[in-house]
Amino acid sequence: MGSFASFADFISMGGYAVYVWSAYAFFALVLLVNIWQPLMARKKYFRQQLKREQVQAERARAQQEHEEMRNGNAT
Amino acid sequence: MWKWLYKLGSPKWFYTMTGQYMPWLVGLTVILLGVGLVWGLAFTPPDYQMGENYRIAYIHVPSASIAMGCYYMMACMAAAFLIWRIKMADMVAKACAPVGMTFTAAALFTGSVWGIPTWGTWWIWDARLTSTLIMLFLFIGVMALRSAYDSAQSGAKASAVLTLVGVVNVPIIKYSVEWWNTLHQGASNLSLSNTAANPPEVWVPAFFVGFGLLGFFLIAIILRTRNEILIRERRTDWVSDILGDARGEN
Repeated sequence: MGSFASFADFISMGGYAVYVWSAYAFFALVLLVNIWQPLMARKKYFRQQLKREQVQAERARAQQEHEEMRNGNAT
Repeated sequence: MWKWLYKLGSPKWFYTMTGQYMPWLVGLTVILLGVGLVWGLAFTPPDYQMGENYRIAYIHVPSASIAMGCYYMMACMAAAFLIWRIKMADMVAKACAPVGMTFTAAALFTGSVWGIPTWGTWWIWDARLTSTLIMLFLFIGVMALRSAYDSAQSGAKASAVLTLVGVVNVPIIKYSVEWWNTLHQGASNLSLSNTAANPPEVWVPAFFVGFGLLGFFLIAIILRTRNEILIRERRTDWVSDILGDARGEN
């Protein structure tokens, strides 16, 4: 495999496995966080906005029903 | 040119434009990073002194470059916001801080881990390491200062001022290895025009990772900026149109 004799050789990194792989793991974590966090924030934003719209729509409907009832009582 | 700059200042234009080009940018970034990392990790020959351990360089060096570039970008945006009151500039500056912080952390961590077997220590208070640590604190400070204000406008101004004060630190990081006697090695002067120091099988994957990480950085900034645009422009018609489209999806 490339510059290594075997896959086990590749994993052991000439005895530097702990250093090389922990550095690459941290790097991968940094990449992951930088994509995952904004994507989750976007999802949350859409959820919140849609919920807010629903609440507003329900409030408007309740208001309308209330007024209709009042008008009905008056006549 | 000016028309283009003017357009870039429009949140709606930025949002639609980045949305169109995002798939291409993601594709290119995945290819560059994938090829560069696999090449650097598995196919490049080992270093004659450091053995396999030097493979950390393929992530350590570009992480540090991106972190410093990110600070410069944040400073330019802060200046544009303070001088011309461009709101888009503030949104991009806000996006820069967390991204720059994570890349600075990556540079410090990978450097420390590299230092244990090669220097015999994971940390030393030399100029390069200390100034980079200061940059980490600056990114954190800029974020903390923004969130400390109740008014978004005041927070934006305060963090822009701190950003500009802290920009002096970036050239110090860059030239620290020349100005002072440091344990950290000097720059390898690796550029497209000067590649003599190392054989191609060593520097070609480095360029792949470097440009790939640049693409990744742009993606990270664009994603955060787009979120910020949606939040600040939520009362506009075009954002409610986007919300209307999203209603179908959920």
